Amino acid sequence: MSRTLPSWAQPRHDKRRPKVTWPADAVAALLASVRPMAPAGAPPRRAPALPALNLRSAPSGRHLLFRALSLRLDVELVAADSLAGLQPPLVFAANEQGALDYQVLQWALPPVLRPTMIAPSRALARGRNVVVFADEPVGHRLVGEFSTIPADLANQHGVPIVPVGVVGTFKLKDILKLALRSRPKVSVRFGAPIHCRGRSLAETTAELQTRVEELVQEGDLSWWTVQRRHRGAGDGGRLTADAAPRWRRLWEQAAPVKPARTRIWR
Amino acid sequence: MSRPGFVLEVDDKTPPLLTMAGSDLRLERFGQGTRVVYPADAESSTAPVGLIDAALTAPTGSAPLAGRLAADTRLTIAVIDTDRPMPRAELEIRRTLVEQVLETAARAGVDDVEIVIATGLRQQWNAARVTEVLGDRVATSFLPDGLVTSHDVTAPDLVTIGEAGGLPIKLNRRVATSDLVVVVSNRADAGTRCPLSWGLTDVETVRRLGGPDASAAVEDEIEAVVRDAVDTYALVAVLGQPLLGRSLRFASKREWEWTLGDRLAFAGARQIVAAMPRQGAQYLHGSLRADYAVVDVLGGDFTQIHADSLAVWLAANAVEISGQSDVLVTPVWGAAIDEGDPVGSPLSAAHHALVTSAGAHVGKPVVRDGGVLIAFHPLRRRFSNRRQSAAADFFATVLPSTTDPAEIAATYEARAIDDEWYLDLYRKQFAEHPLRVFHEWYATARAAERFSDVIWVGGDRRSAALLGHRAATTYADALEIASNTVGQHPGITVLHGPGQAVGDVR
Repeated sequence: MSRTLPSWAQPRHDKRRPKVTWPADAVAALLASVRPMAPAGAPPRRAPALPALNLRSAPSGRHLLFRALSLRLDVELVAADSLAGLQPPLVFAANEQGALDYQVLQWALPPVLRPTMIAPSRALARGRNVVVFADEPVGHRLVGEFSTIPADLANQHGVPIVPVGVVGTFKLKDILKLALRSRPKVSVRFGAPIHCRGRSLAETTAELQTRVEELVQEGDLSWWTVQRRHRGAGDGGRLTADAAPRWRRLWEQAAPVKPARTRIWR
Repeated sequence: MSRPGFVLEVDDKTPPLLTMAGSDLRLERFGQGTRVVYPADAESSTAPVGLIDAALTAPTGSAPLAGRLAADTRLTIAVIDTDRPMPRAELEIRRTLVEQVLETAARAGVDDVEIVIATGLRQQWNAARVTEVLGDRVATSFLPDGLVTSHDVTAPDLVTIGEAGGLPIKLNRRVATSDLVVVVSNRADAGTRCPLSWGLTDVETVRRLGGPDASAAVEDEIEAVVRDAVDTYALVAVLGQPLLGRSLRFASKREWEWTLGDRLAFAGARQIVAAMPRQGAQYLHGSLRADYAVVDVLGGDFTQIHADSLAVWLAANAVEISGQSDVLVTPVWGAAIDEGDPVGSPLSAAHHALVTSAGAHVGKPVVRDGGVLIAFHPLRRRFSNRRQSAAADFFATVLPSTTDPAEIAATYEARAIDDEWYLDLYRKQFAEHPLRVFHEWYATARAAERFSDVIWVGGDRRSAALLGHRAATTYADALEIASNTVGQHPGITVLHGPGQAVGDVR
């Protein structure tokens, strides 16, 4: 041996003797069950596994609240089948157009999907869907900025974000007060879910922003135009559609609905 | 989709956290402010056939497998076994992968099919192991005709396929003479080694890959030669974290989410090991199986799939950490280091702590240069006579004279790899090749250079001294020893759980 080990580096010769550990462990187990401890920074518990959404639970516009909503509004649900196969809970991320957005979204969705805005993290932990809205749009933009909250919630709970574009609710509260002969048109558009695994919060938020902008604009622009602008955009892939002035938005939103069949009198 | 990993900052409401040392389980109270890295939640596996079909029919960077097969194709399925998840998987995804490839080959009418196990320096597979991993159907179809073989790095019939750095590179004969090699593997860590160069070449090539003077340039050069020599189609299953069986399920959960049942199971597991230290440990941890969720199955061009599978694994398992710390604490669980041994040898424990745990990270290491590593393991001198004969001799005769990799390589390595006894154990008794323990030590010694101290909590003092490390009786003692180099208030990061917590340091 050429290495000189320190004198205290002696091997352990003692044999491990049988010990009794369970009484102390059992007492500790009972105490911990009576007074559970949870660190402040711990992510919420996993929600109990719910069955995946199927086509029947996807928004179909047949439930009672939707029918009630349809009395005053002409609600259109677009691409609702993109929710089929998802495992609730979900984070819906929608653009803020007006004061009634939350109510419209709640009434338009079937009970199993109906989201809440209150205490979103706790709601997700309990298996409930939540909705987070973008900020109010600044200037001439159609969609305001999303904070990192949807991405953060989705990341914490390991759930997907569903981008939602709500169109037609701008100044809806005021419009509903008017004596209109036709029902105002409202469109709720669902996008493909965004999974934030492997991406930073900023990347997920940027993706969400783009998707919601696409959803909001796809009625005005053709799908292909949206895609071309998105892919070929010079400023980092961000959608650069010209923002419509306020009056035009209201004008288009209030455009008369084409009647189902032409009436020759009136 | 499993709940992602996270970093917990210990506060006054944090319960004691589970640590593992060999076969001992204990609840350790960590100081406030300590960061504990929890990997993503472990989940049970689901039927992978749909993912495999997608990997075969819509591959990346290659034509679908069915389109590359013809009746006269000489097809070899190389099953990679150089890296395997520990504890061993309950559902062997490689079996399903091989069966699906064989189904495709059968539909294409391929006659000439063989299976080669790319073991590299690891144990070769006996018939029982082939049946256990690849299943009855493959075993009964291929074993009687000798169509399943384990690669032997010392075999005389290896084929020279080229040169790297002026030295010849030899490859498994069957693989080198095949029209198409389907490389089947699973990824359960962040390793970057090329499984073909490490698993199917000759001992001299592997020696250069893992020697003390190994470099990435040499590895790349060898990998390029091997890749050019073989037409490959890669099939990789990316796995999640281990979900332990019912008796140890609590170890896969977060402590504050333990139910009363989990706590009583913990008390029971501790009592079994405490009452019967050998038999109890063997019963609970010796032949443990874990379930791994199949995150994804990737198929196509070998190089691209190798890189993509790493990216997928990191996306599913890496945990973002802000900034490096001064002290890294890692448990070393016996069932995760040595197969069939509930405690594990001191050499495997050191390799696991320094290379597998502390060495696995994205970008910057979790601990700064000159930091301290604290590991939990008893470091008892336990080696299997059959499987680890070379490792036992290495620990008993080589380490007492030197720990320097260059000196060991020059003085002891050549003698060991030519030793008839070791080679006989490797070829006939399913032992590891003697070179493996040398390579593990070189990697361990290289990794230890980054740390000012490596301290083993509850470790045998002589074993720790032989490794060139230090031993402490308790975790608090270890921190006190560490304070000599990192001060009284170091930043501490703990890697938690039976799986692999890989830090993505930002």
